Amino acid sequence: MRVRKTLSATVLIATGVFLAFTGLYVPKEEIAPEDLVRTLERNENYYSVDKVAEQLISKDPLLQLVDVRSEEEYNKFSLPGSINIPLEKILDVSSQDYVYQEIYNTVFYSNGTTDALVALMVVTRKGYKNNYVMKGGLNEWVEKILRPKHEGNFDITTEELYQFRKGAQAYFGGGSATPVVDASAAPKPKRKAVKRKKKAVSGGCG
Amino acid sequence: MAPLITPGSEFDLMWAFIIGIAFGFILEAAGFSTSRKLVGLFYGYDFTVLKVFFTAAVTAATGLLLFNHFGIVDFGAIYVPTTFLWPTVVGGSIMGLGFLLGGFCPGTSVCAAAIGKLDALAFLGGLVLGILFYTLTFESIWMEFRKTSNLGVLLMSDVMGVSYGVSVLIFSIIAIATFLLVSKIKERIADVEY
Repeated sequence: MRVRKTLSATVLIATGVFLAFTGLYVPKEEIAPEDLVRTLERNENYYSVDKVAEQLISKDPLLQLVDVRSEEEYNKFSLPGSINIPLEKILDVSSQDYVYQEIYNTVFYSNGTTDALVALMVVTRKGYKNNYVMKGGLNEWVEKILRPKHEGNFDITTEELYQFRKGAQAYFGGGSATPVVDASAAPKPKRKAVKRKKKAVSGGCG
Repeated sequence: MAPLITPGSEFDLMWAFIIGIAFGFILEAAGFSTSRKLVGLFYGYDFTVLKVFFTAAVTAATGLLLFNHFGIVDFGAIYVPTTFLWPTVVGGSIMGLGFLLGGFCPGTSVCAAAIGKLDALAFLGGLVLGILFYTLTFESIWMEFRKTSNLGVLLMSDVMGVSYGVSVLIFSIIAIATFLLVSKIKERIADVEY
């Protein structure tokens, strides 16, 4: 009995000494591929064009729009207040202030969804947070905000949405403005949004 | 590798059931379904509770750090509850008082009730009343208070200003010293029949 106790105490202290002299193992900042896929599939990573319009109109101070198209395309047409970071420059040091921060909600947009989604994938892989994608991109922006059509169902939700879009159209000067958008360059992928249950963490003593 | 169990899945309750059964079995096997043994620590004739919980803490701390060292556990992914100082003091005092008066803590009372102890059943009744009291007075007493004196996520190593490893070593030394001390005390007092 005594031997066993002494042995246990010695092992414990030896382990303690070992741990005291070894540093903490910190895994690489990259996230696992399966986690990445899960993150990208999450619905909350997307901003609808209506949400972007609403936050632009209400001048939401946390909204940071990032145009990931080329500089040329950006100069032809861009959303108000957006900045231009072409996709290939997304990890440049000069871009870090926008994609690697914890204050603003950075929303990427391109002509369709694809390029913005690539940008999101790259920064998510780096472990950066607070980055989103405007779903449907500028194609959907033109279709729904600048040239809104009534969706047919005369229920309150559809009606409200339509009225909001009409207001937004007036605000953003739609109708007369004909932005140059190369629709063929960015096909709109149809994605199935997978909703995940929220993780609940709990603990306690017996 | 870890976590082996991802929270939020449909198997959560099944895992909880299995772990709960194992926990209850070990509690019972360690003699924790006897209220005399449990309160023995307070009166100074039985130190099983102290030994078991201290061992559990030291084992968990050492194990976690070892797993982390070999890259099995990501330390950053471990959830550490926030420390609310005064709410913890008040909650701990109420829990301690109940423990001393009733002879059980919530987990062990369920364990003892399961093997048919009537005092544990009475304790469980009190537990339900306590929950009811908390619920009914939640808005008037506890809602604001429970969020006061928030110290954030606080670890022993932060307080002592040392690394995790050093704090575990210090903690292990304290544990062994305490075990030696209580076994010396135990030698001096007469055995108590339960």
